[in-house]
Amino acid sequence: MSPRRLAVLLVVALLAAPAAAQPRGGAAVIAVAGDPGHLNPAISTAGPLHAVAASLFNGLVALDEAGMPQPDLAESWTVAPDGLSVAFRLRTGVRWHDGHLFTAEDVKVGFEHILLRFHARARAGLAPAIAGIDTDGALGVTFRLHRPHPALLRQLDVTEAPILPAHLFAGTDPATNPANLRPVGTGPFRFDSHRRDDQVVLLRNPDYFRPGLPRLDRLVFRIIPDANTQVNALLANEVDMLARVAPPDAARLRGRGVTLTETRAAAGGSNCVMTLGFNLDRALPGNIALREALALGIDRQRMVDQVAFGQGRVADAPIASGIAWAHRAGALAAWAPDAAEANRRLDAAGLRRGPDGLRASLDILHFPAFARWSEMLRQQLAPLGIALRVRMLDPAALAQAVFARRDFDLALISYCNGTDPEIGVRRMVHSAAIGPVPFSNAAGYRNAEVDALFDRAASLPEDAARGDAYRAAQAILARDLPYLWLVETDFTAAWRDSFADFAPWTGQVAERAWRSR
Amino acid sequence: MTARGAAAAVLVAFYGACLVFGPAGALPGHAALQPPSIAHPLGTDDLGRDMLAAILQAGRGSLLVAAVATVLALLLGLAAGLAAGIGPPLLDQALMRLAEIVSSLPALLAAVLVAALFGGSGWHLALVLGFTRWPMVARILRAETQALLAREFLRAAWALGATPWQVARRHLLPCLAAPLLAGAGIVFGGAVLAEAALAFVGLGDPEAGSWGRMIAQGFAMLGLGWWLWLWPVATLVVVSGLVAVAAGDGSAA
Amino acid sequence: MMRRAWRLAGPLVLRAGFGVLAVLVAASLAFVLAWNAPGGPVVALAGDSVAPGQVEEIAARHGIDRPWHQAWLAWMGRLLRGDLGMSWREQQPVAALIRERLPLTLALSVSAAALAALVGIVCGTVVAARAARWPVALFAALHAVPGYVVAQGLVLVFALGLSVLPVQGIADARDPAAGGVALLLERTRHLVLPVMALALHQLCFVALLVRAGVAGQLALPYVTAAMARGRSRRGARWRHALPNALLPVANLTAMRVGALLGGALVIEVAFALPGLGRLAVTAALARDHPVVIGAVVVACAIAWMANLAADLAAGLADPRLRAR
Repeated sequence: MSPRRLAVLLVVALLAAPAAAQPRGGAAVIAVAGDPGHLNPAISTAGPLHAVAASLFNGLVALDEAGMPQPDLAESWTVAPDGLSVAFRLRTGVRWHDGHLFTAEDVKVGFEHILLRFHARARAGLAPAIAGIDTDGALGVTFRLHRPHPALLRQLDVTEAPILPAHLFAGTDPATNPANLRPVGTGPFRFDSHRRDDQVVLLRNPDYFRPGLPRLDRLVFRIIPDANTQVNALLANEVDMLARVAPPDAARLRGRGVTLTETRAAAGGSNCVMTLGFNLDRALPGNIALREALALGIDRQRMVDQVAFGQGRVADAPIASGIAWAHRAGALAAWAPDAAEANRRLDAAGLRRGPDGLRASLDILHFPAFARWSEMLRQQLAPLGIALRVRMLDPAALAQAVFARRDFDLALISYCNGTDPEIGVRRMVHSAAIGPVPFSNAAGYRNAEVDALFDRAASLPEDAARGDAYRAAQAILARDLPYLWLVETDFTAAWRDSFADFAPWTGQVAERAWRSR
Repeated sequence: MTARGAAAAVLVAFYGACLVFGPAGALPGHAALQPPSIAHPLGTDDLGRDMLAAILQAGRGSLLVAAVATVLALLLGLAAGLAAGIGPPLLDQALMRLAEIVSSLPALLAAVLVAALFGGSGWHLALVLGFTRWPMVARILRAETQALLAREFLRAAWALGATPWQVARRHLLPCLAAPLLAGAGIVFGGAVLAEAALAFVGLGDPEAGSWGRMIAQGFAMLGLGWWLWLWPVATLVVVSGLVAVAAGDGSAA
Repeated sequence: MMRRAWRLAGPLVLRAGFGVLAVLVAASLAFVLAWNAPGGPVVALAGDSVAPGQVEEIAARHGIDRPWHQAWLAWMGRLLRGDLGMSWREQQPVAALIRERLPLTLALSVSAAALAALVGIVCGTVVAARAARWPVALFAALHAVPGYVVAQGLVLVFALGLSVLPVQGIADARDPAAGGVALLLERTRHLVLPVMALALHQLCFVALLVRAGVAGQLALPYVTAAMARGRSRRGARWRHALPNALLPVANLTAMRVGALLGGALVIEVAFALPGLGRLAVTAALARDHPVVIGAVVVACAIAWMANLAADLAAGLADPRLRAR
């Protein structure tokens, strides 16, 4: 045996050893809040859909907990020196759940026919950069780009770009394809059944390309709309894992046979920052003195303590600390709570108190789930003489009111930065992202300098140089305050102590999970 | 004083207290999750709000919805009931069929759908309840009116040449006050419960506090403090019980 | 002959006609509400982030870009042909979605109504003979407790405290029963708490009504006469007074079917039961208008049929009404 082969065998053995040591079999029940509707993650970015469907599919790359690209369907890749093309080598012998072989054609059709047209973030973030996709034999794919696009690899995981089978989707209307209801993927689990508003059952994929995985035989996603009922079900041992636990519930679960894991990412979003957006088109929120006073008047540490029950950090820059190479630490340090200074600036700006002690009244729009946040804001702003009128709207209505009709003063939105500012920060601050597109530039912020810095960062190949551009932009944003970045919220997942190795930061939450006993 | 009178008096006093002492606007924050004490007789919640103040504030929201819904249902029901009772048989038939159609609409489902489509709002809820609950009032009034019209003093009034309007105003309305009040009580109680139920499932008015929402949130935090859940439950049960007694809900007597 | 048949069937035909009209009115109302609701199906269909151009594409695909009267005429025409349309979000016929959910909601409300009627009648009759006021006060107090609070209490005691009954769902997620007796047992176990939570309010209502009715009948001469003929007090109460007190109970139970459906909605959310109410709420939040309208149509039709059944039953039970 040649020394090289021996080394390979050793590595394989080392990798396989821990996998073999974990017990196999058993079922896990995961509670999710909403019914996925259908199970095609390539035509929608809806959270409940991805929470379930991501276990059925793979992306070209996977992202680890730190957001760095790892091989998934693509075994390896090379970026051309000029940054204008990226060549992927695909894994051999991968099979779809129906037995067909996975090939480069699946990638080409998946992107051209489905993802770049129907997946909102791929269409908005990838399509403008991609000049073409060429196959090179059965296992080679090359992405040709109009300009260097360094964020590309972080936009190819199962959440941002799940690969669908070409043999079922080529030449069909992806929005009505019957495979949306009986999905066929390459993922660790295959589809078994879906009873609407009740549960989705997935079974172990025996031919999964990662040997020894998955370890569980059955994965059940139970749809439980009420967060309270979810927690009770976990405590009563009817459910094994909660993909997302609200902070007060986490406090309630501590020390009751439950493992709690805090992550900065979860299926459908990562590095999320609870953000107060100002409608700059309106006189009051457009007044910088008022925005500064709000920044000084809000005690963000108290929000972390009381609203988030300690799960998160005060946001100290417009770009989340999870994207360390782009984050400008301390950019928002100037805005520490100082009620006296806040009052002084309001007085100086001519926003004087009326006879009832009121200076201004603003409406604030948000999802019902953020009620405790807006209540805390109301509570903290009342002493400044600023009253908030709360308008809770569901996503459909909020998207229209804020981004289409622009009928709001303040909008409380959880903006997820993603793993690259190009994915989740550009859309908030770039003037090209103003328009009726949900969760884009809510403030209506225009600053040519910031636009130029983001454009520059998007076309540089090196993270270090890109980071400099992003940090320069953050200094301007912290001065202009089109948004007030409140709290970097962490996601909390909870599972019963008899389970281990859930990966709540990825879509494929149960690929490695196992159950003891 | 009868039980009905006493219950009504307590209700009026309670809602009066909500209006007078229930603070408007944001509640100030104190130390969070404090058990009942002298400073906070009912304790404080997870955001440091005084529970007593929160319950009184929620009472204002409850009162608004219930009062508007009741007034609307009474006006519509009164008009329809009198018209059906006094008017020609064809009008009677048409109004009663309409009442039948309206009362077969599931009111709570309608309210939930309106809230889900348009966002939670006390006014929307009050309008939906007012427009769906009037048939009950109308039926009571129609039956009473027809019974009264058969009585001698009204036949005499007709014979003496009174117009329908005069009959309604001078003779019918005074006699109808009691059944009208009972109808009002039933609509009021239903509205109090409906407002709480909507808030409980997260479709309430975000502006106003609500006992229903406090019950939902309090149950989630039961492990952190029993007072978060118990007080709103007790308030809602006592209020809806008092309304039932005050309305003389027929069966409870 | 013809005239006789018409006299019997005519009112029924008329009422059925009114029923169809009522359902159409309700569907139109639902249409107007849905059409004017803020926001559209975009977020539910495309997800939280939407690319430029997708809003228009989705509007065109589902015909939302038409003028409202065109859309209304198209929908009502389809409805009259018995077609409820396709769900936008779930890519399934609305009728199929409703058929999937309806049995559970019906099982829930019918069992709750039946339980409430049975236990309520027994309790009401038993306490009718007693002079004590406390049973009345107890029923009146329990009557004031909303179903979801009852649900919370039941969950605390039976599911979390004693761990004898499940917290949520209609089946065991890990090991669902395949069929037969096991399935029946599993469904029963899962529905006990929801049914109890839904039934308690109605139960107290029935008990109070029956008590008042029976007590009223007991004072009438015919009951005294029956006792004079040698009936025991108990026999008089159950055999004579109760049947005559039942008529308004049946009637009021049927009248409350609409309210029961509304209550079932809250219970379905609290216990995570996949019923019709949750279908409607999820669809309304997702702006899946065909499903919203379909659910309203079905709920109204059910409430209407319950009313009709109540009248028919009353007619059969009470000779005075039959003669009219």
